[in-house]
Amino acid sequence: MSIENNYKAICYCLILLCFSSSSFAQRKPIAHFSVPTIRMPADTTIAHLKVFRDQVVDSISEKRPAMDTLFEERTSDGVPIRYYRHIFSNVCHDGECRPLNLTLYWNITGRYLGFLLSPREYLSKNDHEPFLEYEYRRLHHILTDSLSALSSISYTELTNEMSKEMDTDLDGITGATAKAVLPHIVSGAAYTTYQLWHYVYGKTQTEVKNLTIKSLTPSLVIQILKSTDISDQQWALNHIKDNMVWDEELINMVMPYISDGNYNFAEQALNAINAEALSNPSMQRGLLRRFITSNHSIKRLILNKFKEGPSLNPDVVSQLTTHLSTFGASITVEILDLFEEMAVVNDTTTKEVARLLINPNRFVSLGAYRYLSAIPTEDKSIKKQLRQFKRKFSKEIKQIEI
Amino acid sequence: MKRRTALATLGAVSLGVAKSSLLMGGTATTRPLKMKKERVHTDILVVGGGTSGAIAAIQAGRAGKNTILVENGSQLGGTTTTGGVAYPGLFFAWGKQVIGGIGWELVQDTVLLNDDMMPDFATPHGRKHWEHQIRLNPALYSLLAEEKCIQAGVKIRYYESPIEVNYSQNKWTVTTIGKGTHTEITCGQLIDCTGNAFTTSLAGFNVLRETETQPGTLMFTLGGYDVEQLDLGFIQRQYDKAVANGEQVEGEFYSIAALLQNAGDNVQHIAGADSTTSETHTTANINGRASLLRTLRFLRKMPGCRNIKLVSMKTETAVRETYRIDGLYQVSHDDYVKGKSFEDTVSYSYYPIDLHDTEGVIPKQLDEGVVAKIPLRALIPKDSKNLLVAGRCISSDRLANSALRVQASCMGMGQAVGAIAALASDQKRSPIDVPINDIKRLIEQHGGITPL
Repeated sequence: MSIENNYKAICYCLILLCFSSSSFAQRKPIAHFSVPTIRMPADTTIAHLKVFRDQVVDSISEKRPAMDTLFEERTSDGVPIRYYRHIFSNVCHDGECRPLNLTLYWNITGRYLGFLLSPREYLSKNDHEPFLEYEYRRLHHILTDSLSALSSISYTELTNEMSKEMDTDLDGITGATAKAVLPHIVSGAAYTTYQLWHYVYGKTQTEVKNLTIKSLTPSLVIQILKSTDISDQQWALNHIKDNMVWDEELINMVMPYISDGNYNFAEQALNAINAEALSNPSMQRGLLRRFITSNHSIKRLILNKFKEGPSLNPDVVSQLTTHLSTFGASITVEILDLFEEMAVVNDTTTKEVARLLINPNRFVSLGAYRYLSAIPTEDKSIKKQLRQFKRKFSKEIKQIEI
Repeated sequence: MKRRTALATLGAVSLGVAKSSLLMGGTATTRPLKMKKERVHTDILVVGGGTSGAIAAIQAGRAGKNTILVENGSQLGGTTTTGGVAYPGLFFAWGKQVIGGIGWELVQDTVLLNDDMMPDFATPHGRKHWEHQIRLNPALYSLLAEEKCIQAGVKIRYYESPIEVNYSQNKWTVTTIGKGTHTEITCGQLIDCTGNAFTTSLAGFNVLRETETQPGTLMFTLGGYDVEQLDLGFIQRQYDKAVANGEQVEGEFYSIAALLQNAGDNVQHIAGADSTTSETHTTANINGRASLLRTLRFLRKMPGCRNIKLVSMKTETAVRETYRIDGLYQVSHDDYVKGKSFEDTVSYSYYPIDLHDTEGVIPKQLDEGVVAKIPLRALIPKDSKNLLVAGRCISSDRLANSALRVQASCMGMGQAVGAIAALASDQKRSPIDVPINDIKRLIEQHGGITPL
């Protein structure tokens, strides 16, 4: 980043900070923002005309889906940094409607970023009182929560009708607002909170993600992966494309996700690794290290991933062979399947597997037989053991050879 | 030649011609088929190849035991496959995996082979626990379950059902009848995974049943309409009128709008559905299909639904609740919702209390951090020896059972009983006497997760 860009970024952050604490007068804009992935100033704005089917919101206001504009802000290098949409709507309750006029912002990964109310615009509650500063902060906090219970609460549940079903009492503060809903809304503004949350997590979010995907480059994926926001990281993992160069930096960034801590992260990180990446010995060795320390579920994912590579690295074969009988029957047999599928043939492995022919667990010995029968071997001792095994377990072999 | 003799000769000649020409194609006349009667012996016999039974059999086979799996249908997987409720759950609780092992392996492999993705388990499901259930290709699941059984050396006997169960000299003898087969299977350890405690009942042990059981569901898919173009409120009102007029059956669809929004799926309720016997299962199937046909005809008269189509239908009405065993311990609702720990805990279970009735279903989620546990004693019928049970007929009260009955929990139980039976066989002990640490060790060696 150049000095000039650094300066611009600092100014931009200062403006944001200023906005975050500025709801003291209606003549000033009211803004609350979270940290975006790309902290650079906007250079250009692109308008995308879209049909927004804000299902929940439209069904409340009985509006048909309509054309609206989604704005995309980009850096001077053409990198998308955020999106926004002007919301002009009404919040109606008990036949009374109040206007809703503000701008909602999304990060490039679809994550909610913030909102902006123009000078003289404000949000109001059921009693027409304007929001106070702490209520704007609370609104921002609620909108940041993508997992809010508002996702599964229907519009009618905001009122006392649904409170019976939810087995809750009426709140007594906002009159009709169900008590169970209170923790999820700005007090006195259930409908405003609800509508805005559904705007944020409605169709616009999908549009935002789709637009970013269109301009996604390997360097942008890396930038998103470096985000401190966990949902951004997850988004990046899911969008690592085949055109990525799997250098040490990327391997080192992705590998820590393959652990017991979060199954989905491990699955997504492994999905991101393609066959070409697996031809890199560092990648295979890294996966092996993860295999040794992971739980059963992740171990299986890693073994499956190895099968996608062009061949199995000798170090990996050596390590798996050395520890073959220590993994428990199920994983041992899965390793034997991997060896068979990857056509692993070397004396050490063959001899180690041959030892398993006398394993008391027939599931394991049959797995060893299957592997040894599938590979070419000239070892007379092993051939003899195979013949003996075949005589002893002819019925069992017949069954697994279906 | 007399005419009669001539005709007879002619007949013989023409028959001979016809016969020889037919035989040229390889047809042979065979004697009437006789029932194949045989006696076989195995270490472990699993009755029922459904959600828990297939897993129990694979575990027993992988532990190196001779295992036979008797299944009265034509494929493995039960509710997940034949019943079509192909979204097992819940395997994760509060961000951590609680059910793993062989059931999870099957789910994992089905997902991988179908290029599907797992749900985001790190994201709390809140009230929407179904978001953590895993949508599977049921056909693929059934293929993989069968393959894993075969690779584990399990001998599968499809189309067979037990008719007699006897215990003598520390051995069970289970007589089964199938298509042309009449088999006496002698085993050291018997596992009842029928879901209806059927084998336990045949063995002479008392079983429990509620006066009113949860309804069953025939799984089907509808198509040929655009839900966004429908006036769901109008259709719901019309449906309510049809119920009031007696044209539709009250309680079969607690929300016709939900039926249309989900394109069928798991919305129908068939009261009293019971798969225990051929007779009750026939009734459940006929009622499920009649309900679907009635509803389909109704919907085709609704605006926007003229071209509605039945895209697919499962062959059986899936059943939620029938009989439960009267076990050495009964898991209570209180045990479940408090996540009570037991000295003999063998598996976890995690699901909301989920009792379906004529009013529909409002699941009650567990308190944060709570994960229920399953004690070995709840898997053993009182006064029995060498008999284990897994699946929805676990010894439990009705509310606990409404959560315990789900597929992931049944898979966990299945692996546990497969491991316990294998150890009991090796150690020549009854399951209740197998040391708990041995059980946990074996389950964990096969990827299962056991509570501390």
